[in-house]
Amino acid sequence: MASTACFIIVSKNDIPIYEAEVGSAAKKEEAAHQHQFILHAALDIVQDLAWTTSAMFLKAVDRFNDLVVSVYVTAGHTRLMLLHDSRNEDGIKSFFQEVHELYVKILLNPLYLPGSRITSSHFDTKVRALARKYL
Amino acid sequence: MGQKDPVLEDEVRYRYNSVILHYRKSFMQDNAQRVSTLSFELEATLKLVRFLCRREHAKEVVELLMTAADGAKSLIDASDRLILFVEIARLFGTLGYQRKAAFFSRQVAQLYMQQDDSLAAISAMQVLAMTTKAYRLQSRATLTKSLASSDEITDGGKLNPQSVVTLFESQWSTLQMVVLREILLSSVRAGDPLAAWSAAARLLRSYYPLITPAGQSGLASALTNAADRLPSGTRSADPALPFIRLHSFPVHSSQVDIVKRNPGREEWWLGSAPSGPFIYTPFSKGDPADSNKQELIWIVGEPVQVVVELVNPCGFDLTVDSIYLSVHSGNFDPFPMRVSLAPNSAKVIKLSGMPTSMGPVTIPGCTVHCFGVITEHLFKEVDNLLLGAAQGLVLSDPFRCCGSPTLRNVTVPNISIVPPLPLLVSHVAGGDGGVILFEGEIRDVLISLTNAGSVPVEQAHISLSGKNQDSVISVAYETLKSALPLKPGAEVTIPVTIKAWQLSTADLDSAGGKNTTSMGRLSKDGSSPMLLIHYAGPWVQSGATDVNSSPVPPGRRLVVPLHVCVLQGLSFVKARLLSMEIPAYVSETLPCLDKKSSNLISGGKPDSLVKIDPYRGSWGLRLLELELSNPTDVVFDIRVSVQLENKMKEDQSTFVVDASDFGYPETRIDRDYSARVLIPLEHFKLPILDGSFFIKDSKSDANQGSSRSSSFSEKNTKAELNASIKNLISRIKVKWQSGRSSSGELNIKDAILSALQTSAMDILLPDPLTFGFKLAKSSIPPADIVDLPKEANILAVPPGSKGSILAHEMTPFEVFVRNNTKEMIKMKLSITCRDVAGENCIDGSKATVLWAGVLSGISMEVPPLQEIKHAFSLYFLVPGEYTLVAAAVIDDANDILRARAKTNSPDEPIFCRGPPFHVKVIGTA
Repeated sequence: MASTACFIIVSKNDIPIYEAEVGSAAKKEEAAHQHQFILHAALDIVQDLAWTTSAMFLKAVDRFNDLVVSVYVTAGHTRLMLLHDSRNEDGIKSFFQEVHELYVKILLNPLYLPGSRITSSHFDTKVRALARKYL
Repeated sequence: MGQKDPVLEDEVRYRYNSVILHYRKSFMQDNAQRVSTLSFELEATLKLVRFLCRREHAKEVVELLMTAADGAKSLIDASDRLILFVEIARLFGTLGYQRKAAFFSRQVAQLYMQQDDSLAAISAMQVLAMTTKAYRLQSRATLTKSLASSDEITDGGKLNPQSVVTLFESQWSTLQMVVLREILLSSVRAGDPLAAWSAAARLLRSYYPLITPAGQSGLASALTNAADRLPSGTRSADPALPFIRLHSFPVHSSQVDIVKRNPGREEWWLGSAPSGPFIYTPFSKGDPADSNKQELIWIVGEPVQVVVELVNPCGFDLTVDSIYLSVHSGNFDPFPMRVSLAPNSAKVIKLSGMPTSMGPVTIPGCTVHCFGVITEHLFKEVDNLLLGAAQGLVLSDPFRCCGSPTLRNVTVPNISIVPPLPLLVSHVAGGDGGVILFEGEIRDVLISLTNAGSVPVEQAHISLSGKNQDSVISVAYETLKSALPLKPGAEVTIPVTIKAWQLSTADLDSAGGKNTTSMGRLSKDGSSPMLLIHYAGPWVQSGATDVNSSPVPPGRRLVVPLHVCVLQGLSFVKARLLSMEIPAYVSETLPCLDKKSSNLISGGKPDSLVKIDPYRGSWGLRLLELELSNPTDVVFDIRVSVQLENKMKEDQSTFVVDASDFGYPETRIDRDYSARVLIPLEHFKLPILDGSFFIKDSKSDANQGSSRSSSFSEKNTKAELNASIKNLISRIKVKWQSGRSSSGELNIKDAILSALQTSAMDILLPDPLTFGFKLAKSSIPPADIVDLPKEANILAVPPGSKGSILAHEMTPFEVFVRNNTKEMIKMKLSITCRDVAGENCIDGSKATVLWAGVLSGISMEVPPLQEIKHAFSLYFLVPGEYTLVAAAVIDDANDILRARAKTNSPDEPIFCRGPPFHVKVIGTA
């Protein structure tokens, strides 16, 4: 398991619709802000990169200091972004795929307005379990 | 730049890369302390990036810049790092990666902030200001374009959920808060109070749900501190608190009542306003969804109000130094007001203002002076915020979290200001409160109208509306008309006469339950009538130069509700028709027949209606007895009056005799008591028994026998009969008075109608024949009789017994028979005389009366509307009381007579009996 990881889902309108600090490192508020800033900045790169490949998993697209941003882009251009410091690429890929499945289930919920914040606690628990499993 | 040469580009890239490689190779760990090649390597990298910095090389550029950024860790000097980050940010910006650029700019700002220097703080502030676009935190001062674009989205009213989402793009609230806080810190340190104020305001307004109450108070004090260093009257583009939304446009009553005038129509008020109780009809044009198209008309010089709702979602007391409507059109004078809001509270306030000149008005929001700075709060922004909150896209709805109810979206109507109009203000003289009246009470109410406007009233028209309109007996239209034009400030008083209506049974039931407490309630159920006064100023505006171009100024309508509280007054219990047969005494004069009440008037003697003069012959008296009860706590005096129509030929002036003048005493009904009032009905007989009463088409029916006569007559004459009954009833007035000031009339129409319905014919129609007895002249000189009673009793006649007859004397009598029809009547007259025991005393073995002349079977023909005299004499053997009765059997009766007699068979003889006449015989036996 990675010592630091921040997972975020960004809707196609560039709104973060889900955020989770999944690292085992002690949580510092300042660090959490920094993670978000890095992820936010990485959106620029993802925006260009997503159209150059047919793969959904874009691998590591950005880095700042020791932190690496891995991105998975769904067909609907929702971006699953993980900020991490480990290099376990296979685990991250599996993590993204599983989370994508969860996200699709959320999308299928007729009560969920696509593009709005995901507030389901079930989803949250599942994502954290997946993070423990793969990262 | 023109077309790049790819060969040249590759060459340049190759050279740079080899240089970078060289620098990297020469980097040695032990050498690093002395001189590092890193900075050279970074410089080369940046130069290469600058050369390649185009979209088609984006991937390569990003890679190079990330490598360069990695190198920053190894730089020892913070200022070197700062320069590196500035360069990286600039290059990302050139590439179009705004977010990347913002990220590095923020790194630069953090580095600046680490320097303890106000100049560095200013730089930090400026650098952060550049990041606001990427983080979508722009101050409204720099945001005019994006606002304009969002207008188009929101205008539709109902939004597509997707477009709602786009409104709240990049809600990276954590980032935004951090950046705003950094801006606040840097601007405080840099000594820019306005920027600090703006940042704190944005922080507080947008992110209050994420800030602890302590943090909110900190921001509030930051705002105050910043404002202290600002000159007073400073404006900021970014609003702070409170949140303001439009609540409603309360429509002032005078605005409702603006009526468009059509210059082509003289009576423009007709049909201009709903006069019924239904102001809103389901058939009105346009669907209710179009309510945002509604229009408001404001009038120059008349204050208006707009209701807004303020909310303070934060944990500190908020004082709004002044708040007023912000109007950019310049034709509206808003009145500021001061509001204070407790923590987490909402308040609905009325903001008022005065329109100053003609034209359209738009109210985009409010201008607020709060925390020492003037800001403009736009309603639209709050609407968008609420829209987002409804979709779960925004952190929190400030209105809902303060317990304010959800409002539907209020749209600003189209408001236009029209030139000054006259304004009538009404008040009821003697207090505007409701007039408390008993049922049927008649009272004059003085309504004074004052022109409170600045334009004279030149036209006015009064009409009635609402329930119980017929309770308004008269309105002095002429008083108002004659007062026109009513100059500004002038007053006119209009008397209105009201007669309190009857309470319905439902009212009575509810009132009966709680008798005393519900008195006030009865007037509130909107049963009072209203005066609608339509009025208008001159057709042409005084200032207008061109008559054709300027529209006709509208008229107005003033609704004056006549607040009448009707209390239950005398209540009607029942009505009964009583008929009495009071025999008249035979005297020398013929009793006045009821149909020709000539002596009633010409005699000059007051004729009391109920007091019976036996010599007048009030036989067949019919009385309507009304039983009235008085449930109130005051005393009522009842007077009955009957208006008599006297169409006397000799006397041209039409008499309306009020019977109350004849000394008929008032009936007093004490509280909680009942009393009966008698109404005489004898004066209503029609003079002629006319066929028209029964049938119009009697001729066609004549040969078919009279079996159907009664049925068709009833049908055909129903209307006529009803009209006569109504006429009859309308002449009976039961007036009451209670105390000194209250007086009124009892509404007994229905009661009388129901009492009379069955026997109306008997009352209205005269008998075909009337009979009368009279002493023949020769017996006693009438003068003696008249004068005697007061003097000595010479003839031993008891006082008051004028016309008495002595026994053992031959007394001549005359019997009169009058034909009341228009046709000749043939009949057989017979006269009987009975004693007190009712025994026939003319015929038989024990006859006590002798006679001369013919007493039975006298054949007579009475010409139409004439009377016939028949003389006979009686000789009374025994003194005492006798009764003379004349009767006749009519031969060959026609249909009219049959109908009157209510017989069906054509063979049945028609028998007419006259009223009994008393004869008092004195003397010794």
